[in-house]
Amino acid sequence: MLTILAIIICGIITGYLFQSKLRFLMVVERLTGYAIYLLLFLLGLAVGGNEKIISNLADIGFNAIILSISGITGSIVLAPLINKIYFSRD
Amino acid sequence: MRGSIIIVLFFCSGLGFGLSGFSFNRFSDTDPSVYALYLLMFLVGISAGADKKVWKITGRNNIKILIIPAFVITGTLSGCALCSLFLTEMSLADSLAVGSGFGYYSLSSIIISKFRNETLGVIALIANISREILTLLFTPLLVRFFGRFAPILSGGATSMDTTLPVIIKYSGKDCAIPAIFNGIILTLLVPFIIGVIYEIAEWF
Repeated sequence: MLTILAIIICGIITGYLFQSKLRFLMVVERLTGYAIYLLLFLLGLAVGGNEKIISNLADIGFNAIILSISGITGSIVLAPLINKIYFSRD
Repeated sequence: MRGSIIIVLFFCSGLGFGLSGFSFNRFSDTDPSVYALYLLMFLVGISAGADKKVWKITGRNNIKILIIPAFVITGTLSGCALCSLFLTEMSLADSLAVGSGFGYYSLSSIIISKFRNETLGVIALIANISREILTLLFTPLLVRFFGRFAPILSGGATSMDTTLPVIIKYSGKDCAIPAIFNGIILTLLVPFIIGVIYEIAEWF
């Protein structure tokens, strides 16, 4: 875990230093896209070859949707409060 | 939207190959995708560090605009923590990590599948895609019952791109700036928060 956090921090420092190098940043953006495509393809590959996941897909999907609804609900109950904060001063 | 479809297509084509019995394990014993993940994290860090808008808002004492992402984080984590009490097969850390995708399904599912396992990666993928889809579908109702900021909170990290058009349509044009900032901040924080959750979980 610490490896990942350290790598992100190195990236942030690099990005901060190369802020004005637009061509470099465009290459970074393109590479990010390719890395995401590759990793999701590999995740799909691993999942497809994993019988335990495929046979439990209904349970997995159910858990996922319940978690999604819980996260959204937890977030939106605070929405009316933001309205107050945003429009309190003006 | 086109970007989302391409991403899902990549996952599905991998799924198809996997189902038909194709595997890289025949060629090597170690998992090479860990290095691809490290590269991805480095690249994501560079984009974050080079983002002038982020340094500008954090530099200026514009605290108000940070309230929305702070509420998304607090709200989502509280909701998922409560939820983990009822989903007996999910641990607290796993529920929190899945929620911490805040709708950014591509990155969160990749990180979680590496930190934990593929099953949880798929849960993260489905849960965070659902967050985007549910926001797209229910924005009119959310605005009506929870106010104009509700779809921004519901959309999470997606409020800066995929769900932005519906947010602008139903919450108003003046919600565009807070929505975009909310999306940028959450997108940057996703890998950090997931990393921190599992780091803390290791202490117990």
